[in-house]
Amino acid sequence: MPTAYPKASPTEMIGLLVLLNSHKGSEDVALLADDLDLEIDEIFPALEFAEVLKLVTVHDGRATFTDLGKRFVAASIRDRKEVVRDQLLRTTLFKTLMRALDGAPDHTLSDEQLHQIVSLTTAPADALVQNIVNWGRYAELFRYDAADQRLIARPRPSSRASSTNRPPPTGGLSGGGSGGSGRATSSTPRSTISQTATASERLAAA
Amino acid sequence: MALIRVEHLDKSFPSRHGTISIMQDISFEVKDSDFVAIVGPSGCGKSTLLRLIQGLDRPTAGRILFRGQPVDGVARQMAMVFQSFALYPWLTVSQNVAFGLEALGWSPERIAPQVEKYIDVTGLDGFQEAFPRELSGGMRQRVGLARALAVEPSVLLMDEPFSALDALTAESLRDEILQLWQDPALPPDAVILVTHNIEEAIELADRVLVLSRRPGHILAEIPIELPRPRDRKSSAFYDMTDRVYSLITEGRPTTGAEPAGEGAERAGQML
Amino acid sequence: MRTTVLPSARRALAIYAAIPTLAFVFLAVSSGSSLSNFASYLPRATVDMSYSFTRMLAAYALSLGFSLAYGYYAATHRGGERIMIPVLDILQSVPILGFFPFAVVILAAATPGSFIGPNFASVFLIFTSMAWNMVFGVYESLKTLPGDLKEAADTFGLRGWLLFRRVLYPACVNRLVYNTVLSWTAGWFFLVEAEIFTTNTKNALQGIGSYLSFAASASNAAEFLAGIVVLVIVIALLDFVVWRPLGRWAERFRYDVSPSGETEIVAPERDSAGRFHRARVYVTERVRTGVTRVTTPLVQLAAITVRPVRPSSARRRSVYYYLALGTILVIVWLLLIALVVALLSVYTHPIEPSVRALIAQVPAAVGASTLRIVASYAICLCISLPLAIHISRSSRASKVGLPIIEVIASFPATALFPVIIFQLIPFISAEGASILMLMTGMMWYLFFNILSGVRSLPPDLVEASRSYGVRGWKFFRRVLLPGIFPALITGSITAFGGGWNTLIVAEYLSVGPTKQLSLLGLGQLIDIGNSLGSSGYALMATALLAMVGTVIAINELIWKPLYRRAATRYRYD
Repeated sequence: MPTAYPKASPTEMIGLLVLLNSHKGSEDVALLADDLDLEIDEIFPALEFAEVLKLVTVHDGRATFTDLGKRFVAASIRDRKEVVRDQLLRTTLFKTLMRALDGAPDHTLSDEQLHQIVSLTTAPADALVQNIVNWGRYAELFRYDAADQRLIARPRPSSRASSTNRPPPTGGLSGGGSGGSGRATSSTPRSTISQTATASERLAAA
Repeated sequence: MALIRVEHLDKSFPSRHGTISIMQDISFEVKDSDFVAIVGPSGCGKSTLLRLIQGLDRPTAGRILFRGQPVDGVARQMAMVFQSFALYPWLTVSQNVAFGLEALGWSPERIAPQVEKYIDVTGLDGFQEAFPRELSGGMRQRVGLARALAVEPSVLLMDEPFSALDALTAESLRDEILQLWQDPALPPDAVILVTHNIEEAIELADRVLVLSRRPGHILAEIPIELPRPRDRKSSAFYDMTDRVYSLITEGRPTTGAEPAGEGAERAGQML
Repeated sequence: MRTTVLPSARRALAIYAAIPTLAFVFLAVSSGSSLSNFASYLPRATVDMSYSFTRMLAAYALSLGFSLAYGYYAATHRGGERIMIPVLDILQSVPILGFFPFAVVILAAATPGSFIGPNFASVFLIFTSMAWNMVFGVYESLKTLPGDLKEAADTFGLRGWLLFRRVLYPACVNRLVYNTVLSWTAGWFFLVEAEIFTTNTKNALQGIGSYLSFAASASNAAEFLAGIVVLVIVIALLDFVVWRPLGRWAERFRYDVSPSGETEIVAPERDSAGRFHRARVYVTERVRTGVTRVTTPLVQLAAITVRPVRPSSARRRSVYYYLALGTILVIVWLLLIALVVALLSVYTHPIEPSVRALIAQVPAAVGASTLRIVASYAICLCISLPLAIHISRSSRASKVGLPIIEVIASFPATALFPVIIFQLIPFISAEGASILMLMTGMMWYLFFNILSGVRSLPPDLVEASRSYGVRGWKFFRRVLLPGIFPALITGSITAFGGGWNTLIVAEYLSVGPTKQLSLLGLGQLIDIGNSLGSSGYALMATALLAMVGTVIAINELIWKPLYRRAATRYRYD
């Protein structure tokens, strides 16, 4: 897998996947960019991130959905988040990051430690740290205190199935939990998913 | 009964060179589960129209009925999503989402679960304590959306909600808006979207109202009956886009376009 | 992106420490005595300091409440705005400090044998040095609140207390915090000056200013040093424990407004150095627009009285609205009544011939005082112009020099007045002493404005002149001076304002304690009027009115045309 972490927000990446979906799931990257009147390098970061998360493969300048990617665009907002979480946790960077966060005595990482870890897996780190933090927050892997520039581990309930109104923030490494048990997802045209498997597996099985 | 009924709306502003008319004789209806898009060239008064509908501004003539009642003052059954997001930089994401609920006088105990619910459905989980400046543009507009949905409005008003965003971000937010719209468990009952982007209007709406140049009046009301999700590459989509585009550029209805709303005629008969 | 707070904080700390050290060396050399027993004076200095600090707190609390109420009302009500802003423009361009001797005498006479009179007078004086810029901070924050944020509040139906708490108050916080820091700086200056002043009257105020004054008049260097040490510690503590954390917190409330009037959320600034500078420039900008507007207040006042009453909208007013309105009206009303009563009682009494003769000296005194201010201004300009140019063009000088200057500027120079009065007058004469004291009140306005002017000079203009080989005097005259002209005018206006504020007390103090010297000027006339008791009121009032008239005349005849010229001819976009 690519080790570089491009600078793209989750929303941009989802936008790219939605775009690719409207091109029947496979399209020349240049034409894809053209569709939105963008230059090709303007969609690269989002595309590369989708590659990192194994939602898309790029061969000979043509982007194609993976199976997971196909199911990702069909999934609900909530379930997409979980796929991102699972996939992020398979990357070296986030594995390292979560291990460090768990291992830290107060379950927090300072700005400096964060920079250090990011620079181990990518270079140059500085410009990317905020992006990494953004993805981690989106995937609900950790919290971030902007005032202190500090990463904070999220409380991790043992099982999300017991939750009532809305699913509480899920913990990181083990992944898992259900999507939208509190939401009226059953009435939506979007997929509803069983309670046990990780989101990616569930989607893959769907 | 129509959810919203706009009757012979005129709006003009006094200026140094006499009165400037922004819009003239606008009449249309919005029914339950209607997604209406208003398109038109810039300066045709689209955004002003949206503000008149919520009662933020008063029309020079004509009136607006919400469920049969004239809109007098700001209609709290409607909520607005702004082009510029209009988030309060000193409030966290949660506090921004709670903004309208506080104004409704909800107790903190009632507000908290409601805020969580709409943070959840808009995909903002994980950003509760963030301040707007920590967010990307897409995330900011999700906050704007969550804030509007949290008050569970009957009508969601969106004023160019994607035009301050980059193309990819806009693409994903359009997708998510549709997702939320198609969920019957979630508000609102109707959406009015103002946009200058014709494709966006045709992709999202059930009906497109085409406004003319200033002074704005309704050139056509075009129902979009393409099944969702709509394929922008399809020839039907192309035809539709072409039709709206030529309407706007030529400034008059082309053959085949609907007359300016049967609602208008009916309203006229009533008066 | 790493924070640079630490090094600059350490540097500031060093500078704070340097002030008492320098004072120590200076005093040790000049007095020739060992200062080892200075620690024994610390307890008394601390006690006196606590009196002063209480006055500051009281004045600040007043200013904060006043600025929120006044600013809110002026910003949200058209009618109110049309009277209130011109009134404020006049108030801030009038040297209120000059009224202090008068106020102390009047208030002391009104409350014989009581501490209330002079204390009230000093708190009110500090209030006047703190309040105006905070009011403008609130007023302009609310006026410039982005339209979309206002509209969003409307669409969700926010009003009353909730609107204030969630939208209006937070919108003011950032500027209010910056202006608070500046208000405290000005407040210290006025506080010390007021206390020093009272040591010559029967109603001496206990406080750090009078402590320093007594110490200096007794030539007790150790005692004086203890006072300076306590003052520096308090100011440094405030800086580190209150202002810096407060400034960092206030960053959360920052936002910009896009050209189309919508919010532009800005990332917080990591480096808090320069906030003081920014606030100062902001405030002087304010003063400038005030000065350019001050001409028409009478016209506006007239207009308001004949203005047809607008049919009131059906919107419900909250109880806070009435509370704010009531507070403001009561304050303004009381002030007006006090002023009218004072003036009436002064001029309806028969004026003695001797006093009449003194009143005849007022025009000459105005001239002498004006000359003194001009001289002081010239010296300040000669120092601050090269200094500002040097600091802005050398990054090293700006890194080292600017924090030093900021700390020094935040230290109330008035605390050193007693030394000037008691130790330096033999060397530099009363004339020199008064000019030196005036300079402390004028210097920083000039410096910081010129600095911001040089800094905002477009780099391409500088580049272009370099590529054409324009340098030296020619560069100064053709590029630099025109480039900084608007900033220079702004700085000059505010410097003169500061000068007039310091003038009366500076002149007064230069002759006051010894009474052997005579220094023609408004300060001297007020001193004489003061010593004459109630028959001197007419003299004091005339002198003060003459001063106010002079200030307004100079603003109108010199600064306003100059500023207009600067705004049209020397503008670059």
